Amino acid sequence: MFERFTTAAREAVVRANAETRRLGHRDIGTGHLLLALLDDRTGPVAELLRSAGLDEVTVRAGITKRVSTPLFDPEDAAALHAVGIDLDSVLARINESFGPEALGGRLRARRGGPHMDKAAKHALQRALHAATTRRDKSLGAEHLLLGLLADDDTTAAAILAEAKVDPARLRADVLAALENKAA
Amino acid sequence: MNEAADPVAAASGADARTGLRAALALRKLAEHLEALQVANARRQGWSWRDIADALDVSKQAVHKKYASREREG
Repeated sequence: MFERFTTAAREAVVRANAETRRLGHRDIGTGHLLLALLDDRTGPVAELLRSAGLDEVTVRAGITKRVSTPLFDPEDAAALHAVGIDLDSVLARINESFGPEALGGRLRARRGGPHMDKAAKHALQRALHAATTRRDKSLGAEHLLLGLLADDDTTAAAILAEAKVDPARLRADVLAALENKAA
Repeated sequence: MNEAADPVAAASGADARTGLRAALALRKLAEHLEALQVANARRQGWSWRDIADALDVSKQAVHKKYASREREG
């Protein structure tokens, strides 16, 4: 899927990954992708988001409000392993006895680093779809934003709504920017 | 990847950082396990006195720590 990504789009995904780690979150979500796009320095996307009224502080607050931080991170797991305790087994037992929400649904972060969650993967698919239907050769930051705007039940959509950003208008602005680029 | 890469060195106390981190993680785990088990015992009708005895703390301590959570929950 990533082969058609422009450097800007790849870098946005890398930034989203870094931000997810920094916040101590388990999954890269649509909110983290949105935050990464705010920092895009290659095209009109960041400017469009900013003039629509978004900034890092708002988006980061919107994410942390909606995404719970895992109680244990990979370093905890490694340290416990070193003294002979398998945190995975312990948490699995707790889940069995008390259900997955017992620790507020806060399970250990993934050992191999964050993965994209379902909504983020879907946003990437929608971004690819947007590029394909427009017959754009590559998938850029603009398409990523179109992908994020495609679903209205995501963290990104909730953050946009809270900041009173009109997704339809933003979408039109992005499409216009893509037209300009092509011309 | 990190300092815990060698469990033998860490367990033998050679790596203080990993050892301290393990102690911290255990404390966190114990805290949350205690809260879960207290709530569970209360649901099963245990008195604060019995829970305090089981945890080897005073009834006041356990009540102070968990009674308000019970009301919220």
